[in-house]
Amino acid sequence: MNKISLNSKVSLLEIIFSVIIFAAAGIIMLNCFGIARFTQIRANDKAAAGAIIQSDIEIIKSLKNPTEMHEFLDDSYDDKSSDNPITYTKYFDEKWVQGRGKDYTVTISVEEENINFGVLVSISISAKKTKPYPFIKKGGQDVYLVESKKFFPLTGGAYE
Amino acid sequence: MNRRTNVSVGMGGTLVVIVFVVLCLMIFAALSFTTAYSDLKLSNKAQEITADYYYIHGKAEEKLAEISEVLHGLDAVGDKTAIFRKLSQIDGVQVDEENSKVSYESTGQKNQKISVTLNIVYEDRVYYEIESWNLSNIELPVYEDQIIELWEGIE
Repeated sequence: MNKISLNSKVSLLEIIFSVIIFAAAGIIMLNCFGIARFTQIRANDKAAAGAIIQSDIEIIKSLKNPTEMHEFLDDSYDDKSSDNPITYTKYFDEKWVQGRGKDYTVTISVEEENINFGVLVSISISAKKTKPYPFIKKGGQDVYLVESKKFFPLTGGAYE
Repeated sequence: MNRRTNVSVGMGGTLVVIVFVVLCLMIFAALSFTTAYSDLKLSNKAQEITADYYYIHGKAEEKLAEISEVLHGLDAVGDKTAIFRKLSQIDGVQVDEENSKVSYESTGQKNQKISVTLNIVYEDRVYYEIESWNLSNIELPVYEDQIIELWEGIE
């Protein structure tokens, strides 16, 4: 019968060296995996926030007057501050589902400027993460920002 | 008959295995970071282009408001030339008095522009109607013509 005996000649020093190397590399690797994970989450957040923000701004641009705009914002946003500019905020959970958590906030501020023959509305929409991303220092909590303007003419201006 | 085989790991064997495992994990970590960073760069680029689009859209709307302000209060039976002279004073606005059209462009930083054409309508008062509102590139890539001499066959 064949018997295999493992004759390991491993010294204590070698084990200590191995553990030190593994620990040092492990710290770097864990950081690297952590940064990669949260960088990916950040990239996904940008895509999700971009879709929500673009959808809202396109709806606003398709509306006929500032009253319709405020009705839409009242209905689709959770909070409203009545200061000038008027700010509306809605909250999302970590999976970007509205109303289930406060991991992300989408804030829109609208400032109306009455001019002859219509109203020019300055719009600024931003998405932010409530808590900072772990492992990532660069970029802060800002996820997305879009600024634009919309002119609501009192009469005329129809797209022919 | 009992035979005994000695397998010796030897001095340094553990270190070699550890270094190999660490190297493998390092490569995986680097690859996952590179993939995630590429996705982030793509998302940032998409965001920059989107933000630029809405910025130039806003500028075009602002110009529309300026034109609307000029048209406000003008008498429809008044001098057409005077109306178009006033409109041409707005920065960047081109007028076509013959066809009663006004056009302007709003350009962004990311090779995109919005070209707007308005019809000036005279009824009981003067107002505009948007004829076109087009997004296009400022510069299109130029591809060099590649002339390939083809075999024309045997005569």
